[in-house]
Amino acid sequence: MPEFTAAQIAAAVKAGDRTATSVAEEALGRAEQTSDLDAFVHLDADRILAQARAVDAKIAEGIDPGPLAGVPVVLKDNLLAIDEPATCASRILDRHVSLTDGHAVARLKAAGAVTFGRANMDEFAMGSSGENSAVASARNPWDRDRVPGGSSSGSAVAVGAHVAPLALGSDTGGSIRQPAAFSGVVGAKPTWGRVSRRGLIAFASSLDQIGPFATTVADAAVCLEAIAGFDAGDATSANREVPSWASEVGRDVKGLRIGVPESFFGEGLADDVEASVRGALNALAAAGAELVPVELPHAKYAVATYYIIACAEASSNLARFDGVRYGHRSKTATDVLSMYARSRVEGFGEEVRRRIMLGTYVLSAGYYDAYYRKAQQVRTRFIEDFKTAFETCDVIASPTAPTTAFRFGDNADPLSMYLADVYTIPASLAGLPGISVPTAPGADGLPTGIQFVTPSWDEGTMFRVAGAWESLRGPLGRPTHAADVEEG
Amino acid sequence: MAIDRDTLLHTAMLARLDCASLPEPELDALVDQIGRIIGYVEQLSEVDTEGVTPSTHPVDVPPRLRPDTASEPLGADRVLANAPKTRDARFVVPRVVGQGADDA
Amino acid sequence: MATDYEAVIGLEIHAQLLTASKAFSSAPANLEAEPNTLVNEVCSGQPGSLPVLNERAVEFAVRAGIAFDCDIQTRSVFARKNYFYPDLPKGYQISQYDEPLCLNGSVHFELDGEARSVALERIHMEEDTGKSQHEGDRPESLIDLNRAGTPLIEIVSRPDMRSADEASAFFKELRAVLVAAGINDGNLQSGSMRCDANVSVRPRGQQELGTKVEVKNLNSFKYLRDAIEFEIQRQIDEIEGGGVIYQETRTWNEAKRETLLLRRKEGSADYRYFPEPDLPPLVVTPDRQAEIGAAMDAEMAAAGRSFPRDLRTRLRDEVGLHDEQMSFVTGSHPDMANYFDAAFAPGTDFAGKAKAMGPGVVNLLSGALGPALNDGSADIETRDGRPVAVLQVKQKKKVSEVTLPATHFAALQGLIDAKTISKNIAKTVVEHMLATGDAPKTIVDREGLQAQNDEGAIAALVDGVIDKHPDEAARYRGGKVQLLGFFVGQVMKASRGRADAGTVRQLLAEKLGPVEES
Repeated sequence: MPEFTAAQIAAAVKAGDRTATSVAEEALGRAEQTSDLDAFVHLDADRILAQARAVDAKIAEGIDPGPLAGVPVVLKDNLLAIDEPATCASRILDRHVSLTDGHAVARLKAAGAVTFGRANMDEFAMGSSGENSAVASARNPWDRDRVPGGSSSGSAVAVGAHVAPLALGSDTGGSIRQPAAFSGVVGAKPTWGRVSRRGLIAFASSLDQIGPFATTVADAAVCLEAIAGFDAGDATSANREVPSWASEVGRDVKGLRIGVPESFFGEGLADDVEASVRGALNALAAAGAELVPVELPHAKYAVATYYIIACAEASSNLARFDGVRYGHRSKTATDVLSMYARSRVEGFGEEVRRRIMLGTYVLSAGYYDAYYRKAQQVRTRFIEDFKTAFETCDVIASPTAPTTAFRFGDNADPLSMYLADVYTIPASLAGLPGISVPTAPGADGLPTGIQFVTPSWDEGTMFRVAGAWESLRGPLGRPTHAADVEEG
Repeated sequence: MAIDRDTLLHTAMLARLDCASLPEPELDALVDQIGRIIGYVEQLSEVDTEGVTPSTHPVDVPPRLRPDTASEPLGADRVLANAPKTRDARFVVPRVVGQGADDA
Repeated sequence: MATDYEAVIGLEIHAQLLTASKAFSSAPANLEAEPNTLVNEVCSGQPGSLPVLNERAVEFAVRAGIAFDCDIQTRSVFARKNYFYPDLPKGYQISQYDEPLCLNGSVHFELDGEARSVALERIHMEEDTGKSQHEGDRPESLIDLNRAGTPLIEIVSRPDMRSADEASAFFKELRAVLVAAGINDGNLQSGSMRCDANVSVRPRGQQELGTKVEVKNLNSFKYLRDAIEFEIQRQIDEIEGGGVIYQETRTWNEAKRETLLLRRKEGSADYRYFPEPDLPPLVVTPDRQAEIGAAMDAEMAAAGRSFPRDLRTRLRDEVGLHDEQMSFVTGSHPDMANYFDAAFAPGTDFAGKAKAMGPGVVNLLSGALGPALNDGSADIETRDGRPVAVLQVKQKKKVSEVTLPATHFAALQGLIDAKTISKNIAKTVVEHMLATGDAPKTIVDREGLQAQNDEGAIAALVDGVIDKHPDEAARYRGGKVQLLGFFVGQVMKASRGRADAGTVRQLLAEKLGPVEES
């Protein structure tokens, strides 16, 4: 959509061809048009317009507001923005207001962006469809009866339905990449530590990362550049220079070695997705890339490893939701114990409770060595697997998800839902950067996505190959339920 | 290996989730679901991890220290802003008995 | 015949570190303030907050490791201790579990004049919790998070102690070491240092340990000793009576003078420890440890603080004090050692003369300040960077303040050594010093207290007294030799105490003449 990219909006606003306020007003209009997709938990028009006016004021004074001047960026509802609600789509935080800006959000604002609403999600980022939201589930912009993917469901929908050109989500086991694939947009997860987690309401600390949704690879690169970088307030934040990733987009792929793990193309992968992804790989090969078979020997253990680690860390991270200092407190609490037990059961949804219990179990006395410690050891094996694979290739490509977007209720069994993350989880366990880029539509015209994973700290190659595929692919169709974007 | 109901209730207690008051069918379903998930993750015991160091972090994290300078605190009003119940600039909870740890 | 029981005691000490900011956040630490005003998003456990370790807290923890000769680990790991409590904002405490900062180590102290040593298991770093308070019978508790996140070290001893006295002496030494190292203020009342005791008993000779009971709330040396003594006897009585010792937590109740059950532990709590994913491992290289040690030594030297063991060695071996004098210098007041040192500090009149004059000065100090320190009318404070004795003096219904620099006592000893005044007169000088704060020489000159050493002058006084008391003289010569004492007294009075008693006696004997044989 020509007028719709972040790059073009920022350029137009800085040049004075458009005002940030008019951009924001249009975006609000499109949000209104698509409100039945439930992309948002909260949308404060006044606050959005106030931000936009501030950007315009800066421009009027001759100050450059930054590379994202006037660009609306939707925030997943687990990203703190000062004085705005942050509910994680959970009842336990339904009235919570952030006391501070998260680091990534502060960087966005410093880049001139207009933070745009609170996006729907799976509760506490636990889910792969968006169905675990305590409010209504977000809906896929290509088919309202299908899930948009999760956990960053609303972020994917907002961009996929053309409400805003950019959104931030969080990715723990695939929660940016998978909804990007289901909803037909670009979604990127950086190397673990590349973006500060300060201000991200934690799910699994050693897996969580913040990343962008966009309609183009170039936009995703610009957004990630804006939010990445060292933060002294996050002890795991990498003290590394942020390269110019945007300049990688547009480079060709001649001589680039693309590793293809055949085990990712086996049973469980839908035919239409396979055809689409192989089509992309062939196009890249025709453009000069070399396809190389690689193995990730421990791949079949990815889901089990991930769920032990993620649930264990989550059980600890969510212990602070106890009704004492913030969040829901049960009205039937009579003593401290019932205050805790009832507030948490009333406030947390089923999936969250399940994962907390699983996590508590695998950490508890007698089980720690067999489960948690074992999983951390298998994780080491994953890190080794990737190191070995990257000796023979520069990027590993695979489908992002095994199917296109499924219908609401199709994956009711928790375990079968977990297995939908099988392609995205390995990169999460090894902390590697990964991006999902739309490929040719699957059956029923539904979006599919190809995932590119590169070695740690090499987001550059990731954006390069992603950008190359995108330009080989050419434009995609419009989603059925996308908002109308004004031309000119 | 499924999980038995007592272990599940004990785990719920450790996690301060009031599962004991769930209706029977729901509790049974929970025991079943958690049991199957645990059964699934048990396959990790097949993996050879002899001599393998567990990874707490997926990438190497260099040591990080902060200088000992105090900065402006939030202020009691903001700290208490989201609290369900406060009095005299403090959080109010039902009376606590005892002295802290060991209530696990 | 009754079984002989042996007590087995271990102590666990939590000591706050005197940093400006908290362990994992930059909120201010170690201050008294209105509730919840020293709190930021990290130490109140807000969603989305992350910890970052305070380098000064690390430095202070390493100081403790050095002071107790621990094996300081180059690499140690933080872990989450998970439990639910309203004063624990995150629902877990960041602590260290199986890879702590320090292992082993020992505390050397003295008990009844004998050197003792108790081994340590470990020292690790962690963060403090908030405080819960309740008012009377109200069914609510109020939570203040000002203290939450304050850096702590936890010091765990091996269960090597066998008596309440030993435990008390161990703890006194440990406290003094942490205070000397500059990392803790030693205030037990305020809770900046807390001690729990683990007590069990077993028949003497038995290898197996008895069930241990944890005793908390021991916020004075006296309570510590009393509580342990009570608990030992309680356990023995229980066992002798056929009862069983349960693993439980008890507290000392001073009003009832007994330990009371707080809670029973059925098995140990499940804290579900796992390595803290939000923090990298802590690395303190041997070079850095040495740097920290050197900085600590320099700071202590500049501030005039020494480790109690070093102080004892110096006082005993270099200054030559005996046990009672040592006891006064190290025990009468936490700053008495500094005060004593100040008497001979570089740049003063008696610099470097501690060995020659030390014992005498200690005796003067003990006589002059001992009682007043005991009854609280005297204190030692630091003013203008020097320690001074501060006395509250009552003069005609008004209480005013007198300050005495330590050098006055060195000067006084100097006058005694030079025989400028007699030992008797010294007492009078001290009285004046305590009342006015004036220097001894000033007092001696003003009151005319110089020793009368001129034999001729004494002889004149002796003549005068003999002339004034002819009857007594006659009776003395007649055989009442005890009257010599009377005459000595009279001459001393005439000389206003300034004459040397020995000389007086000698001259009197000469001048009174021979005594009749009976």
